[in-house]
Amino acid sequence: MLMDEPIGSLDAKLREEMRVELKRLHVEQGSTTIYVTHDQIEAMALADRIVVMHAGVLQQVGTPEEVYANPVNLFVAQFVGSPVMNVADGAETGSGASMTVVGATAGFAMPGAIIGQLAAKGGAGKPLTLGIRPEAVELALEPRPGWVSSDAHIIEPLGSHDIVDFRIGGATMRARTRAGFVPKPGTPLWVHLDPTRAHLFDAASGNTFGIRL
Amino acid sequence: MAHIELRGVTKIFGEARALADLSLEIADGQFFVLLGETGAGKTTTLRLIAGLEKPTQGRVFIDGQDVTGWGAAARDVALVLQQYSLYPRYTVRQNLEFPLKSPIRPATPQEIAARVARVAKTLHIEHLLDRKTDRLSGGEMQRVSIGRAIVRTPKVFLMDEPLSALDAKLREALRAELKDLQMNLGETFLFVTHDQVEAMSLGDRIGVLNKGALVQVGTPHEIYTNPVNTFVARAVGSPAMNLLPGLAQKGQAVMGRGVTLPLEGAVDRPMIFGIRPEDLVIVGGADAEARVTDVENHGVEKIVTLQAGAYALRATVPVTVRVTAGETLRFGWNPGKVVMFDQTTGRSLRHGG
Repeated sequence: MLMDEPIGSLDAKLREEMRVELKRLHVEQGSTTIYVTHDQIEAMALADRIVVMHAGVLQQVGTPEEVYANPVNLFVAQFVGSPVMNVADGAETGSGASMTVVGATAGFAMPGAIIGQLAAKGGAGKPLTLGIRPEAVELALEPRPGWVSSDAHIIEPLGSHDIVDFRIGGATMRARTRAGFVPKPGTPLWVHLDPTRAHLFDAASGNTFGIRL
Repeated sequence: MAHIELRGVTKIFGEARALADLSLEIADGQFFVLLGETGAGKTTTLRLIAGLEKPTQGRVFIDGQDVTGWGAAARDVALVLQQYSLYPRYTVRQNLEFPLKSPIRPATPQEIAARVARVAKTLHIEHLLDRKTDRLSGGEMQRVSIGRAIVRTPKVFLMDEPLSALDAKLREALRAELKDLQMNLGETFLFVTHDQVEAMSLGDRIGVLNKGALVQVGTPHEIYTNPVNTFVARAVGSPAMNLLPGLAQKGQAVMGRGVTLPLEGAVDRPMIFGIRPEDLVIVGGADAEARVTDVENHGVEKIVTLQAGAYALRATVPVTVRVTAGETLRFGWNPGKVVMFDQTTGRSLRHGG
């Protein structure tokens, strides 16, 4: 069965119901299905395996879990997931244990193990792009040692959770928090990135260094 | 800046009643979102405020002034549509200048240049100013359309699904920019959409429309946690709230065939139990049993479809929870989060159902 964006033009609510129906049909019929979509939520919800395409070139093939957790490059990283993965230009600083986002006054501390792996993969001294998904960004409402200070810019309440926008140096970043965690725009925040869920990409090629703690 | 009020507005097109006795107030400087399905009356409401339609009955007020009989030009509102309303053979700059050259509100050349520059900066389209609009991408065209609306600093901004035609990632980026823009301008925005994520993330207040009638107005939090009826309960949240008909009996929700879960503060009677997917818990030793019929892994969380007795339920759980289609497991709910609805009217008991 071949499907080309069959539900792309429907109302959001109906699209969601049809998505469930399509999956049920597929499971019942058991026929091989190739489904084309620009909507990553549909791709994640329906697929056994996802093929990510960009400008005619296959970027990555994998289960939804693999594509989400281990994107091969910046394109895949930012295509899958909502809100999109935060990215910021950065560099490993001299101390060998922190990551500085361009323009920021303070760096995010990165464990030595990451810095070590980076050197082993030829990334030492190269311009880097740091990628971190909104759910891997931790926020606190009071100062904590090593956490970077910012303040809440926009809060998007989605009911089950909130998305909080803030700025670090030149980069706008988003964190996923529980509903109501940050009371209002302008609230001072302290930010920490979960190093086990950080992604480091070669800024020149956009390819991942494949470093995981 | 402007305060908007609709008072008892009904609109009939031939045989069809698009709006029925609609009353609505939008405070000055508010980001107000009308949420509804296709045909709910969203666009009609917008067009009535813009002055492109006249109500069959009722009045429209802007800043306390009755504008029901006024034409669109006199009302000083700006409209952004899903389809980009740009002049294809003009450059971006000419498109942005155009609204400032209106004979009703003419501006000086210096003022025009300054305003166009400011808008281009706000919307990150400075590098596109001398490009023809037919050479722009969808996202760029929609930025220019928004630019055409804000360049004039009207009293009210009306937006009719301006992000719906864009692809997912761009839609998300422009959504944040639009909210940022409204916060900076401090102007009154009325935004209509069928997309609950847009409504929740953008709105200071949301009005839920169904078949030409306003069902509930409230903050995103109120609409999400305290819906007035099952229609609103289904309209926001993804996946939708689970709605399970059953019987409240001695502090328990009895939903037939062995599905019984604890309740808080319920009177014994038949009702519909509403529970959000994130308020269902999958844990060994929990109160009820279900079979897993589907697991969607969205990376940030898993959406699990459960079959419990005669009911299909959807639960969201962290990705770290191991669950596979076909297995049987125990589940429960957070009794403090259950919303109870009347079985006949669908109204929430908290709202007098």
